[in-house]
Amino acid sequence: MAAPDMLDTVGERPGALARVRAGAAPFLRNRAFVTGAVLFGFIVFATAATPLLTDAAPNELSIRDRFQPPSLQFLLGTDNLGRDMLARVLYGARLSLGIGLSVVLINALLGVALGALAGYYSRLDDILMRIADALMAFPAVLLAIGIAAALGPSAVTAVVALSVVYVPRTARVVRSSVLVVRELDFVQAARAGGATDLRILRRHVLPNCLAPLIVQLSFVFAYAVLSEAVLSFLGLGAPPTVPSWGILISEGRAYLREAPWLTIVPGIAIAITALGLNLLGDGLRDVLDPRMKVEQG
Amino acid sequence: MKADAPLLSIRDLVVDFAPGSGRLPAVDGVSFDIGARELVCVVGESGSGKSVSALAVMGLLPETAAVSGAISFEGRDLRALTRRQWRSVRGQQIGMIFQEPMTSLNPVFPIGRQLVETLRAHERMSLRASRDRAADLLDQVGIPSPRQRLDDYPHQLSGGMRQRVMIAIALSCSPRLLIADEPTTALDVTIQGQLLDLLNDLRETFATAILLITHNMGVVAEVADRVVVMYSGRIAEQADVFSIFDAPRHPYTEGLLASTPDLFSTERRLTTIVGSMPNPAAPPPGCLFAPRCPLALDMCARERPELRSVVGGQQSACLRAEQMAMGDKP
Repeated sequence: MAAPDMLDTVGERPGALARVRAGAAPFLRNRAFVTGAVLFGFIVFATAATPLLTDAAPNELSIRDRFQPPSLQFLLGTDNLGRDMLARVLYGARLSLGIGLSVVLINALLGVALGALAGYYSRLDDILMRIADALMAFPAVLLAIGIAAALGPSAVTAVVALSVVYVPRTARVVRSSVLVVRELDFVQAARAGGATDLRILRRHVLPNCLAPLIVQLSFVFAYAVLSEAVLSFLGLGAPPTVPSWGILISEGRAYLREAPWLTIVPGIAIAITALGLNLLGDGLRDVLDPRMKVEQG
Repeated sequence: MKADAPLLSIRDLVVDFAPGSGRLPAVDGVSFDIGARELVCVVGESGSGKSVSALAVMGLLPETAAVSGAISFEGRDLRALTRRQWRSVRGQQIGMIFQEPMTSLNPVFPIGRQLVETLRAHERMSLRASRDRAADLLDQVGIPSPRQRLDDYPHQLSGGMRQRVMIAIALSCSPRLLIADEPTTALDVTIQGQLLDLLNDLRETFATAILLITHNMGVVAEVADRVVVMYSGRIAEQADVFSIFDAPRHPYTEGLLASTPDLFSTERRLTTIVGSMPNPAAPPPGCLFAPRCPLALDMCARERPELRSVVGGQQSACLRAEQMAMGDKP
C-alpha cells in the first residue's frame, strides 16, 4: 500500500547532535538571547562557584580592614565592619537568586494551574480572573510591601509576598494562551478520541502554551530579584544576618559618600541579573514567538 | 440496507445555536440511519448542517447549543450519556477524523506518541505492545516504514500522510462507526483518491461503518452506499447512491450533480445553482430551496414540504418529487 505521497516527507533523519544544533541555531543568532544568557550565566556561575572564587566568609569581621576600597587584597573592598564585599555579594546572591527561583517555581505551579483552569473552564474564568484583577490593581511593589509588612520580615515572607504579586500575572498569560489553544483542531480531535479534560489540558493544551510561559517566567525571575532587593532594602526581607543584595545596599547607604562601593557593587549585581534575565526573556520571546519579532537591522 | 436495527439512528435532530431568536436552526429535524459496515455520505454546501450533525453525534457541540431529538448508537441513547460514558464511546466505538490534517495533530508530540496515547486511553496495554500496535496501524493506513515514522513530528509529514495518521488514530480502537468530516477537502486531488480507496479498504478490514461528510459529488459517486443530501439544516433527499445519480428526486440534488465538472463536457463554464442559501434570520416562508429552484411553483413559496418516501427507499422533500422522474428536467 505504499503511497506516492510519501515522496515529499523527509527522507533521511538527522542525528541527535545535528538536531540539537539545528534547534539551537535561531537562539544563537539572537543577540538579546546570547547577551542575556551570558550575563545571567555569569551570575549563576559565580553563585554556584562561590567557594572557589573567594576564601573569605561573608560575616567575618576584621575591624582593622574596615572601609577598604577595592584593591588586590579585597577585590570589591570591605564594609564598615571590615567584611569582604566580594564574599558578601557572592553569598548574598544565594539568597537573592534563591528567593527569585522560589517565586518562579511557585509561579510555574500555581500560575499555570490557575491560568489553565481559568482558560479551559469558562465558568471558573470569571471568578479567577476577577480575583487576579483585584490583585493586579495594586502596584506590584506596594502590594508586596504590604503583604511582607503584614506577615513580618523573613525570607519566606518575601517569597509569599512576591508570589501573591506575580502569580496572577503568570496566570493571565497562561489563560490567554489556553484560550487560543483549546480552540485548535487537535484539541477537538483529542476530545473526539475520548480523552479526558485533564489529559487534554496536560498533553494537548499546556505543552502548546509553553513558549509564552517560559518568557513570562524569565521576566518574573528578574522582577522577583529586583523586588526582593526592594523589600530587604526596606527591612521587610530576610533578616540582616543573611546578606541579600537589598540588605547590602541598605547597609551601605549610610556610607554612600565615604565608601560608595558598598552600594554600587550589590547594585551592579542586581542590575546584571535583571538585565540578563530581561534580555534572555526578550530573546526567548523573539525566537519562540515569531509574530512578536521586532525587525532587526 | 438490512432489516435489523441500524448501528446509528438519528431521529428528528434539531440543533439550535440561538434558541428563541426565530432564526433557522443549524440542523432542523434531521433523521437518518447508518447500518453496520455501511458507508453513508452526507452532502450539502457549506452551512447546510452536515458538520453540526456529525458533532451532535459525537456529543462535541458547544454547551450553548440547544439539541433535541434522539441519537441512538447500537441501541444506546447517546444523548443520555454521562461524561464518563462518553469517553468510552468517543474514540473507542465512534472514531472521528477532521477536515484539516495540518492542524488536527498536536504539533509538540511525535505521531507515535499520539497514537499510543489514544490506544492506552481506551485499552490496558503495555507501552511496548501499544507501540507495536501503533506501527501496525500506520502500516495499515499505508505509511511506509511505519516503525521509523512513529518518532516523526507532525510537521515532518505531508498533508496526505497526516490525514493517514489521523485515520490510524481514529481507527486505533476498531470503532464500529467512523465519522469523517470532509477528510479529503484540504488535500490535492490525487491524494483524495488514494485516501478514499484507503477508507473503503479499511471499512472491510475494521468492519466499521463510515459517515462521510463531503460537498464533492465525485467523492460520493466513488464510495457511497447511501446518500443524504442536506440543504439549510434539513434533509432534501435521501436514497441509495444509484438512485441519487440516476434519478434524483429533488431539484437541489439535480443542481449539485449538474454543477459537478464533467470530463466529457465541452462547455467552458460550470453550471451553478443560482443564488445562495437562505438567510437563517429571515428564511423564506415555504420550501427553503424555492427561491433558487428552477422547478418552483407558486405552491412552493407557501408550503414547506416534509421529507417523504417517493419510491422504494428514496425519500425527498420536494412537492414535485414524483414529476421529476417523468423527464421534467430543465
